[in-house]
Formats: sequence, C-alpha cells, structure tokens
Amino acid sequence: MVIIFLRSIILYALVIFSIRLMGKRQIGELQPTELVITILISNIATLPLEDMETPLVVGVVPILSLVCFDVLMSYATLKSKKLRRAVTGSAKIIIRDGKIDQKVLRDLRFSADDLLTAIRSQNIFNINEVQFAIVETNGNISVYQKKSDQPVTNKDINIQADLNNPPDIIISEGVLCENGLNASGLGREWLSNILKKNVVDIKDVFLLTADSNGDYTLIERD
Amino acid sequence: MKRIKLSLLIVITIISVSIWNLFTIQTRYHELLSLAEQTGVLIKEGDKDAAIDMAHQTENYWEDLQDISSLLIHNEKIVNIHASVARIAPLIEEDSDEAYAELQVLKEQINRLCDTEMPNIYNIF
Repeated sequence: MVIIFLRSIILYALVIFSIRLMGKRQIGELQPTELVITILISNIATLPLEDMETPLVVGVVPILSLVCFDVLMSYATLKSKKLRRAVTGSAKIIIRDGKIDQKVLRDLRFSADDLLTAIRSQNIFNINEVQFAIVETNGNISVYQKKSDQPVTNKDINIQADLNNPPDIIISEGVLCENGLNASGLGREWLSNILKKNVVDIKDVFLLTADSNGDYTLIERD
Repeated sequence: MKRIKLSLLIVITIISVSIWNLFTIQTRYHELLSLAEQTGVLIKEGDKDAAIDMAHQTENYWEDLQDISSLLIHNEKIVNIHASVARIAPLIEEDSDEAYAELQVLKEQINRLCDTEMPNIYNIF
C-alpha cells in the first residue's frame, strides 16, 4: 500500500514535469504527434502502478524519453521545413474563393456535415459567406469570411479608435501584483492615491485592475 | 532553448545510464555464472566442503547483486534466480543429486537474463 502511494507521488511529479517540458498547449491545439505522446504517457505511467513487480524505471525511462524526443523533434521541425512537412503535414485549403474543393475533402475523409459543423463553429451559417476555409495541421478549420459578409469595423467607417491595452491586475485578493503595476506604467504613487481615495488598504482589496490611462476597477473584499 | 538543453541532457543521461546498466548486468551476472560453474566443478569432483563453501560465496555475491537488479529488472526473473541460489547449498549438504541439476537451472536462468537484457534484434522486435 505504502509502495503504491510512494510510486503514485513519484509518477505524478514525473507526469507534471513531462507535460511542463512539452510546453503550454491546449489539448485541442496538440499536433497529432503530441496527442499520441500524451496518450502514451498516461498509459505508460500506469504500468508500474498496476504491477508492483515491475521496477519504477520501466515507467520512468519511456516517459522521459518520449517527452524529450518530442521536444527535440519540435526543435528540429522548427529548423527544417521539409522535416516539419513530413512530421506534421501541411494545411489544406478546402474552400477557395467560395468553392468547395471536393477532392481535398475526400482526401481528408471529411464529409459535408463535418465541413458545415466546422463552419458553424465559426459563427457562419451560410456556406456562401465563406471565402476561404483551411484545415490546419492540428485538424482545426480556419475560416475567412467574404469581405461583403464581414461585420463593419471602425476602419471601414473611418473611426479613429484609441490604442488601449487591456487592463492589468494590480491587486489580487489583497496581494500587490508588481508585474501588473509595472506593465500598466502607473506606479506606486498612483496606487496609493487610489487606495486613499477609496479609503481602503491593499489587504482589503479583492481585485484592482487598471489600464495605462488610469481607468480602474476596484472591488473590495466582503 | 532551456527545454531543448534539458531534453538533450535527459536523453544523454538515459543513454549513459542504459549503457552502464547493460555493462553492470553483463559483467556482474557473468561473475555469478562463473561462481555457479566453479560450484558445479567442485560437486563433480566430490569435494563437498569446498562445494558448500563456494555455494555460500555464490549466495553472498547474489545478495549484493540482487539489490541493484531489483531496480532494473522485472522482479519475477530475480525471484527465480534467488530461489535457485538459495537451494544449492542445502542440496549439497544433503548429498542430493538435485544440487547439480539446480546449478544447471541457475546457469540457464542467468544466461537467459543476460540474453533478454542485451539489445539485439530478437529483444527489440
């Protein structure tokens, strides 16, 4: 029992380390090779847990090896376009100038329903509105709407919009976030003025966000 | 770049440890095999005391080797060898004919283990 528990702790730490080593990617954004490696890791990690007769090294070595190969391969594909194409494949255009390329669709084994589902997920319900649709190497479909069907932007109607960064978190749950304060460029003097104005102390603030113009939102702790 | 360097370091470490592991298993298990063979020769010559003494030496050597083996090799293989090593000395003391047979089994198990740990075409595929 204790052995299982200790092995679980070790493998838990190892799996977290491995995933961190692979880098920050969401499951939906995984390349096919990364998805396979993620599944393999979860499978291999169970081997030394299921069978106490198996040495821990039987689980540790393949997990570390697979993750390292993946990291090294991603570096190699970054350097070589040919290798990248061989390993991850290339993006395919399935709708060009509003016309579906049925041959590519068949090659990718995509049905018309799959295509419509993917287009609907981009908030486009009429296929005639699509100028371009591309199947990315990770299986996602990127859709470019026809110019005539795109929503009007500020640029289209010649409105000059301010270039504003999104608000930064300055205080979170009573703790000052130095990085946020520095990123907003507001400084400690501004912060102390705001706290004085609202008659609160840092530890009493649940959330304080502010943009570079000094517009802020302050929520006190209950 | 930090990830690449760390990955390279891990791969190099794994390769180095694997080679060291292979070397250790081959040399130390061949040493065990040689002790078992010497015990067999002494049994054949009828030198019972020397054979018992050599069987105990084999046991002691195995005790050391067993610890490192359990880190690297599947436990089932180790248990079989352990059982054979433990039986040899008592069988010689009893003047049993099985002592020599048990030694042959032990030698076969050691050879088999060395073969299965060796990276050759049959083990890889």
